[in-house]
Amino acid sequence: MSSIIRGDDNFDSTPPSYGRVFRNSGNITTTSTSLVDLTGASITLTTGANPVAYGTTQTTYNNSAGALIIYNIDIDGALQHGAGGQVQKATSVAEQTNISFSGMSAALSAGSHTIKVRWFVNAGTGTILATADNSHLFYAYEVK
Amino acid sequence: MIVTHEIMIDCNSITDEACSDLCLSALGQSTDFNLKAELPTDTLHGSVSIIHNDLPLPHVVIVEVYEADEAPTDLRQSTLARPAVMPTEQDLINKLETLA
Repeated sequence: MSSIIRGDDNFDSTPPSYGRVFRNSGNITTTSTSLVDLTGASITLTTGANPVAYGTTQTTYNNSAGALIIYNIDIDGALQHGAGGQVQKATSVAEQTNISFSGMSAALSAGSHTIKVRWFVNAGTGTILATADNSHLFYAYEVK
Repeated sequence: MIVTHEIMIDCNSITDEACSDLCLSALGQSTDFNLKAELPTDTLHGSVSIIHNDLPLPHVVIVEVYEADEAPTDLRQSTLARPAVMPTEQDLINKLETLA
């Protein structure tokens, strides 16, 4: 018989919570110059008092040369990448760019949490590709 | 005010930005009801976000109209302004339906 030796009798043996949003059809656009939800890119997890790791893989562009697209991750209303976020600048019109990023929160309280991608442009129309060739992925999981 | 409306649009023959611009035109895009910034310092009255689903799925159009004025910030050069004439939700839906 095998045995496991550990120092904490309250060891949490439940598997970590996780979620994944995968989109391979229906590109998404926005003209918003203030943060708005990236529609559909939202995950609700019930966690212990643990951090959450997340990431998004995405190909994006803006049809206005020199314009920006800014992305952020929102956990229960708290932005994870500063008041602005991760910035993509269109050096030319509709230049497709990989603006994938990842991160990890501080430890959250035990309970239900909503993690979502938010974005905005400073001009023009921002597009995220969601095609069979250029899919969009957002994931989050409890770290324990 | 945020209005989410599903509408059948076939935009396979145009770009997604052109499709977005068609929605803007239908909604009455103008300097008095500006939903898209040409320059970062523009004054805006709202925005349009769209999931461009292929038929037979509908496009999902989310129209936000600002209800309060907001001055530019360190992060946003645009001015957000409540339109002089605030549309109703039904106004916006009726205008989008002209695209179906």
